[in-house]
Amino acid sequence: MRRRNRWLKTLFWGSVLGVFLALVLVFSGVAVGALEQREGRPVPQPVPFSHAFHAGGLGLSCRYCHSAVEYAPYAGLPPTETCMTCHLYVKPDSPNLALVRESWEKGELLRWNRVVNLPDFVYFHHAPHVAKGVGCAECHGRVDQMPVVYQPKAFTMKFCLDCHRNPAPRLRPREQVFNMAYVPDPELGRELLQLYHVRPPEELTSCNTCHR
Amino acid sequence: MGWPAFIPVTFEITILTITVGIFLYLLYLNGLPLAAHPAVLAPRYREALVDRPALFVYATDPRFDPEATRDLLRALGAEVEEVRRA
Amino acid sequence: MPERHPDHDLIQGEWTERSLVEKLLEPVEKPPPRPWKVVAAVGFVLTLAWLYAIFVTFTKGLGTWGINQPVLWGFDIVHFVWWIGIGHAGTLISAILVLMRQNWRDSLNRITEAMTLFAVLCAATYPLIHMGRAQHFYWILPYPTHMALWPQYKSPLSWDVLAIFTYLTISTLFLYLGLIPDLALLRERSQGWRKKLYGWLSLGWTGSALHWRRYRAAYVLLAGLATPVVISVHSVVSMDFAYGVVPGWHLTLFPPFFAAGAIYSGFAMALTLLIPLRKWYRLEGVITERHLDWMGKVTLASGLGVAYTYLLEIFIAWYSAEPAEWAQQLWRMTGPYAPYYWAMMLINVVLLQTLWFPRFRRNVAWLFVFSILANVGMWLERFVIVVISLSHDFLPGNFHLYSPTWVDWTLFLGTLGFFLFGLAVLIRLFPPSPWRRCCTSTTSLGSTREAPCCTGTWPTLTRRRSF
Ligand code: HEC
Ligand code: HEC
Ligand code: HEC
Ligand code: HEC
Ligand code: HEC
Repeated sequence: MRRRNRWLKTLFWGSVLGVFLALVLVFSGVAVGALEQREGRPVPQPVPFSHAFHAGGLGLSCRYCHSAVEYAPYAGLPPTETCMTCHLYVKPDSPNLALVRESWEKGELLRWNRVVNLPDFVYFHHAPHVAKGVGCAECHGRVDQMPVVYQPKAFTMKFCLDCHRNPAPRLRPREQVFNMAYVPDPELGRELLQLYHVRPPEELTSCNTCHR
Repeated sequence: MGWPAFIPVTFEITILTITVGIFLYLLYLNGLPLAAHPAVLAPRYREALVDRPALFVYATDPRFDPEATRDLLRALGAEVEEVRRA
Repeated sequence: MPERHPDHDLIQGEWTERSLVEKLLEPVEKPPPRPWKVVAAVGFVLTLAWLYAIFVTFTKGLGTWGINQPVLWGFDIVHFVWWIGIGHAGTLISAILVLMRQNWRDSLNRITEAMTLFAVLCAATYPLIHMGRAQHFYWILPYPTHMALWPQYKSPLSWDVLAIFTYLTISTLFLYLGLIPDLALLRERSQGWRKKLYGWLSLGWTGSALHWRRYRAAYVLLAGLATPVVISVHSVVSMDFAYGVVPGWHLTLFPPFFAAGAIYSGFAMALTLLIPLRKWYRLEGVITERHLDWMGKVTLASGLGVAYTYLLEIFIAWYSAEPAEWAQQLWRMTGPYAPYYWAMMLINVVLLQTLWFPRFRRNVAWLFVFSILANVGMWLERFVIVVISLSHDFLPGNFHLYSPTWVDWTLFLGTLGFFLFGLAVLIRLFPPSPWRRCCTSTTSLGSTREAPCCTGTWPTLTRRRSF
């Protein structure tokens, strides 16, 4: 009888405590994003193209391939022609490039797999970010060190808002936008905020900035 | 100056926590929940639940003396039964 | 020689404590009467229909409802307010009447608390499915999310969520706390799965006098806390409307108006349930005609509050000199929905006056008929407020009538069915009226009424620990 009573009490008060802890966990915010599935998983691609080698090693600028990034909403992916400027001469027989050559000969586009993809109800534009000094690395991470591109931090709304609420510490001079290794300086950032006329947080966080 | 808008929610949450707290505290004070209690094994316990007075004396009391207690209760005109833990 | 029941002045007939217990446990221990089976069966079928309508709403979307632009709130919100209002009688009886030392509540509180529970459950489903994506309902709670968003706490709609959640929790606790002694007795009297069920639910209640003392203190405290909640819940519901600028909604009088309406409709529904129930289970001795008379008085008092507001609304619409308000008033009285408006006036203002007269109030048949009419009247009132106001706002080009679809109707009938089915199951499992009467109400507040359970002669367990 005592054992059963002790067992029941442990069960009861244990579950009361459990519910309480669960509430603390949820409302303290420590668990935000714990269920996020989208981070850090490299996305397999048909061609073993490596940013670590091309952008990091060879030192190609992002704009060489993502040429629209400064002007357009979409950075865009390079056409096969861009690859062939080099690969007509470099490693022309490599089996790893077979698909690239096939695409070149047939005039068909290469089909890459998407790494980042915002839901359709979110509006995004690369140009204002580049123009106001937000580096690629702020959002995409150290792509120049990724053999296979992955998304280091999921593009949740919190991710976007954390910066839109206070962009200053994460701004950099425009010329450093494509410099993946640059570490932003909060002091300078505050000056840049003035210099680039970055709009106030009220505007950047109003819902219709991103949900139009 | 938006604070008045937070009064209703603060109020509701206060009441909610206090009520749940009172309920749990009541259980705690009463040593509940119990899976079993020897009192239930007493004959005519069911009547004691409804309209009969009944007095249980615990043997766990260090100064408990079965004989003296029985005599005292008998002298007061009670039926005395011993309930053993099953 | 068994003594007379301590409550003999409130119940009718020669009862002893024990014979009353036998009587009150009958609904649980004896096979149910035929009407029970009919009610349970009808309720069950309607509940299935309800689930189907919810399924349709989820899979096909809100387009299956009759809501349109500008009548964005249709039957769903009408019924939400209607049900929430009905729930109020239970808490009123269990809480406010405790504080007011109205001992007669003891015969009624169990069944009305159960009524509250199911009414609030029914009510809560409507906003939930109206969200469209009900799987995300918890987004309305203020917890840190991956969206870095907080609910707008300047909106009564988000207060509503917490108000109703609190209300649901408190009413459930109240019902449960009241049930615990009953469950302990049932545990000792039943076999098989019932014994298991009651055993678990009774939490090992022993009936010790010491436990009873704390129990009564807790009960009164809960009553004290539940009282402001009852009032606040319907006030908050009323602000869902009063905060809006829609003509016909924008009225500071709304909170007391809604609270009065809630009590009125709740007592009406309680009468609708209690009158057949006492007949089917032969509980006339416990739920006496005097009880019904008292309930009639409360219905009258709260109904007068409602009637007063109806008349004042007309005055304010004119006095405010706001063309849209006055146009709305005329639209109610002469527009295509005028029959609804006048039917509401007929019931809630004119027929209500019959309750002034003891001859009507003590006539059980009339009380029953009137209680159903009052339910209809309050339904009409919600229809007038929600649908008629919305259908006629500021822009004439925007005016639009509302017609519910079969999904709307099924959702309504479905909640009615669920309500009946839930109550039927509850009555079958738990006694519809608590057998340990005096202990939950006033005696603990120091009333002079003598009652054995309250003077501490119950099984006395001298020490708390060691088991
Ligand atoms: C040699 C051309 C080239 C260069 C230079 C280059 N990229 Fe890429 N990038 C690609 C190709 C091809 C893909 C598609 C295959 C993949 O995802 O790996 C891609 C994909 C990406 C993606 C993933 C897009 C998606 O959603 O699928 C990101 C982000 C990206 N690049 C960022 C950068 C950044 C930042 C730089 C500069 C540091 C850069 N890239 C430089 C060719 C290039
Ligand atoms: C403010 C955060 C942010 C910054 C800074 C940023 N990107 Fe992006 N990038 C995104 C988002 C969000 C997407 C996904 C857009 C979508 O799915 O509609 C994206 C998509 C891409 C893609 C995939 C193709 C496309 O346009 O959808 C490439 C390539 C890319 N970015 C490259 C770059 C490069 C190069 C830079 C640096 C100049 C850069 N990004 C800077 C957020 C950013
Ligand atoms: C600036 C010239 C240049 C451009 C443009 C370029 N590459 Fe390369 N790529 C190289 C060089 C240099 C190597 C390394 C050859 C070696 O390892 O010897 C290489 C290696 C590769 C390899 C590895 C080949 C192997 O056999 O391991 C792949 C795959 C590849 N590139 C794909 C691409 C794709 C796809 C594009 C177009 C988006 C592209 N490259 C654009 C210069 C370039
Ligand atoms: C590291 C900081 C940062 C992050 C992260 C960031 N933004 Fe921005 N965003 C900015 C800055 C700075 C601007 C430019 C403000 C201006 O134009 O004054 C901007 C501007 C924009 C604009 C343009 C507004 C307009 O009216 O043209 C959109 C849209 C936008 N951001 C969407 C997003 C979305 C969606 C994300 C998340 C995926 C995001 N941003 C993440 C800093 C950031
Ligand atoms: C800086 C850009 C930005 C702003 C400003 C913004 N959002 Fe978002 N929002 C997003 C992004 C990005 C997502 C997608 C998140 C994801 O995919 O996990 C999103 C998702 C959402 C979602 C979830 C939708 C769903 O079905 O998953 C809601 C709701 C939402 N936002 C509401 C708002 C509201 C309300 C505001 C204004 C207070 C707002 N957002 C302002 C970027 C923004």
